[in-house]
Amino acid sequence: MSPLDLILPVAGIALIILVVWLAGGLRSASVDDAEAVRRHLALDHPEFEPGELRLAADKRSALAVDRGERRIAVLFALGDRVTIRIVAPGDLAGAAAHGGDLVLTLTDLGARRIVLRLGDAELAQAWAARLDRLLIRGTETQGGRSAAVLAS
Amino acid sequence: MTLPDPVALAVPAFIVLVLAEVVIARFRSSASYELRDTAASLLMGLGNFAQGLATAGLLYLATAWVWQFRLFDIGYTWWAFLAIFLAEDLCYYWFHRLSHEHRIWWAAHVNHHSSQHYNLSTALRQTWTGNLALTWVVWLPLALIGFPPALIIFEKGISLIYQFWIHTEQVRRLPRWFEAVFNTPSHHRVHHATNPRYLDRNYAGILIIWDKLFGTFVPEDDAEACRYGIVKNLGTFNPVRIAFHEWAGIVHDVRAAGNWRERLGYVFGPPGWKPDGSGATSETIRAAWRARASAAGVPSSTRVAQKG
Repeated sequence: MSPLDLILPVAGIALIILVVWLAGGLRSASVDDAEAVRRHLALDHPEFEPGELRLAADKRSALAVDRGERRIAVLFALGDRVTIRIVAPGDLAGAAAHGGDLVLTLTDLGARRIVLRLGDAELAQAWAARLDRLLIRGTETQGGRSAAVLAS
Repeated sequence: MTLPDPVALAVPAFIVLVLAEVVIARFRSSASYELRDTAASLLMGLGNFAQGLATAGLLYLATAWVWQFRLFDIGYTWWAFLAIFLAEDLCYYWFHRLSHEHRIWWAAHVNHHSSQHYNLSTALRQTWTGNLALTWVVWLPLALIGFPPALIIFEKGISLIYQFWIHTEQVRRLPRWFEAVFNTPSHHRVHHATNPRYLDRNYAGILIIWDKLFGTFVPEDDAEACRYGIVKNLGTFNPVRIAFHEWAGIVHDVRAAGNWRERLGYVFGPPGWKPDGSGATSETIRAAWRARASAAGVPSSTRVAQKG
């Protein structure tokens, strides 16, 4: 194996990243309004029936509680795509307010920490408490095993 | 006989073709490249290259060990190259199908599907853990039949190179005869899509005939655009998380399991499996989609996934 076998892929990666950047590749998606939330959910999770919705102040994320108040859908921008996580009891390890930000910590390594910039400290605290009650404390009353896992 | 390493020879072409696609997509106003997504894919490719270097010797030794018990002496005759082309491609089909149907191998393969984009850089978003998950055992029967290990490795390289160029949206359809026999960008777009109609279909490497033979073929429907990614799309561009998130998920679920049936289900069951049947597996997602379509009165010809 020659040094060129290593240098070429590394140089190629650097060149591609540069060209993608020059071509306007650094983009960000947005979640503009409730209609956008419903449209994304209908496409990717048609079984999820959104009830109450909350859009982040920066329009880069949103929350939707299902009609049965058993799950939430978290929509957030990842690059130029909107990603959705359906969060059920057992999926949420923590919900905390940091200023006007609502910080969700999931048990899934693929989307460990999601920050929703709600822009209002009281609102963030209210949502943190509500999600804690719905998806974390609620788990303890529904099934001890899941709660034990979350606590470990 | 000394065979070249086709992948090493193809690296400059990979780079040139990705650059060309970036430029073409830009001129077509297609949003197919996003900077952090592309960087993640390329770093996954680099990591795959590194782990390949680290494990290549072991894989070769394992293949050579099996080869000493070979049933036939095939050697490097002209027909051996034709036979290995077909046999390797059949092995690839089953490796790929099993990697989608069983979570332990899906954990190694999921990173390849984790981009919500579909372009040539996605082709390079390759596994870091496939060799550790022993996915290479699928090819060992080829050595037992009598194909020389170097010929098997050579053909695997040819297959990987072929599958590079089909990761594109810039090519819509190829001539009908080609689409009928070979895996194409259209067929492989379906494979990377999460639409229930398309989910876990078109496992082919080079020849699409295997999907038609084994009932897993679905043609791309121009009326339903592919939505790329995985059922639970990732919230990260971190290559380490991309590579290991499903393994961490397995550990998490196994630790939470109450008995051995559950533990085995979480490891060897289909991705998304849950003991109470509430999990979102490909089959349950497809069944729910069919039920919704049926309730909405959509004609069955457009509702049911078409098999080849």
